[in-house]
Amino acid sequence: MSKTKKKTDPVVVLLDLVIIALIFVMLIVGIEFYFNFSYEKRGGTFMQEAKEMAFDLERNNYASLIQGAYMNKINGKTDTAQYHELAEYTEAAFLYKVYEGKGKAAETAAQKEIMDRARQNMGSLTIFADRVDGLIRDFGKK
Amino acid sequence: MKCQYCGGNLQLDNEVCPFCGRENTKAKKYIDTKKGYQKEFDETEKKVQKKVKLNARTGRLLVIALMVLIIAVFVGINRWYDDAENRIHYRQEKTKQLAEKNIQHITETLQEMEKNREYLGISNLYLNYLLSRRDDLQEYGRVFSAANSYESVFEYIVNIATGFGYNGETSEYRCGNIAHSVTNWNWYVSGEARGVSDNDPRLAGEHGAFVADCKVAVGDMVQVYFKLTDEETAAMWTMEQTELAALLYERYQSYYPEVSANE
Repeated sequence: MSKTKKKTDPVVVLLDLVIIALIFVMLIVGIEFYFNFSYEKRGGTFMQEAKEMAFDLERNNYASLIQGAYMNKINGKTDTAQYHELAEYTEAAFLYKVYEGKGKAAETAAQKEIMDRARQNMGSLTIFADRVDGLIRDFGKK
Repeated sequence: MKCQYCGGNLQLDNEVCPFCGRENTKAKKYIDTKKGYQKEFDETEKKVQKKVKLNARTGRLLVIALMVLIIAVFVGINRWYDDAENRIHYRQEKTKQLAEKNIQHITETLQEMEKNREYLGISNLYLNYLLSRRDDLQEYGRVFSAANSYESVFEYIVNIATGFGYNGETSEYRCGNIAHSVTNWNWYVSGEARGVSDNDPRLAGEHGAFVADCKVAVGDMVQVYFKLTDEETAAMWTMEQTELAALLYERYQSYYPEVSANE
C-alpha cells in the first residue's frame, strides 16, 4: 500500500488564523463584560471597596469616606470595618466641634465617647484619625 | 513455486517468469485480487481524505460561527450598558426590587434613625434605596428633604475644612452651595415648593419634630464653622442666597487666612 504525503489544506490554515483572531476579540469584549458585570453585581452602586476608601483618604476626601461607610453598612458589607470606624470618628469629630462651640456639654461628651471607641477599633488607620483632629477639630484654631 | 515452463523459482507476485518471460498463470488470481484490493484501498483513502478535509473545514466553521455569536452577545450587552440611560434604568429597577425585598427592615430602620436624629443615616438610606419613589413612604417626604439638605451642608463644610479639592471646586463655590441649601430650606425642605402647609401630615408629629431639629443642626453647623453670631444665624434662613454666600465666604477668609490663601 502506498503512503501519500499529507498536504496542508490552505483553507484550514486560514480558518485557524481567523479562530486565533477571534480568540483575542473574545478576550477583549469578555473582559469589558466581566468588569461591567462585577460592578453591577456589587449590589448598591454606592458601596465602596477598601481600595476606594484608601484612595479617598489619600485625597483627604473624608466626606466620600463617610458616605461610603454608611452605604457599606446599609448593604451589610463588613470587610471594610476599620474604614467604617474612621468614618464614624470623622463624623463625631465634626459634630464634637459643633456641640462644643454651642456649649452643649452632653452632646459633646457623647461625640467624644464615639471618637474614643472608634479610635480603639480602627487599627492602623489611627494616623488618619490624627489627621482628622488637625483638619476638622482644630480647624480655625490659631 | 516453480515456473511451469522453465522450472525457475517464482515469487507469488511475479506476473511473468523473470527467467523465461512467460506468464505466471498460478499467481494470476492472486495478483488480480491484490490489484483489486489496492484499487479499493486507494479509492477509500481518497474518500477518507476528502471527508477529513471537509470535516476539518466544517468543524472550524462551526467553531467560528459559535465564537462570532458569543462575541455578538458580549458586544450587544456592552453597548447596551454604555448607554447611561440604560444603566440608570437598570439600577433603578434593581434598587426598587431590593427595596421591595427589604421594605420591612427599611421602615424599621427609618423609624429608628428618625427617633435618634441620624440625619446622615436617613440621607444615605434614602439614596441607597431611592425611597422617594415609594408611595408607602410618602409621609417621610419632608424628613428625606431635611436629611438631604443636612448632608449637603455637612459635606461642603467637611470639604472646606479638609481642603479636599474636587474638579476645581473652590471654597467660595462651596460657600455658595451652603448658602443655597440654607436660604432655600423653607422652599425645598418645609415644602413651600410643593404646596406643603404646616398642617400637612408630612410635617406632623415626629416628622415635624425631626425637620425642626434638623434645621437647628444645620444652623449650628454653619454658625460654628463660619463663626456667625446668633443674630446672623437666625437671619440667614431668609437672606438672599448671594448675600449669605458672600457673608460665609468673607468669614471663611477672615478666620482661615492660611487655608484660603492656598486656594
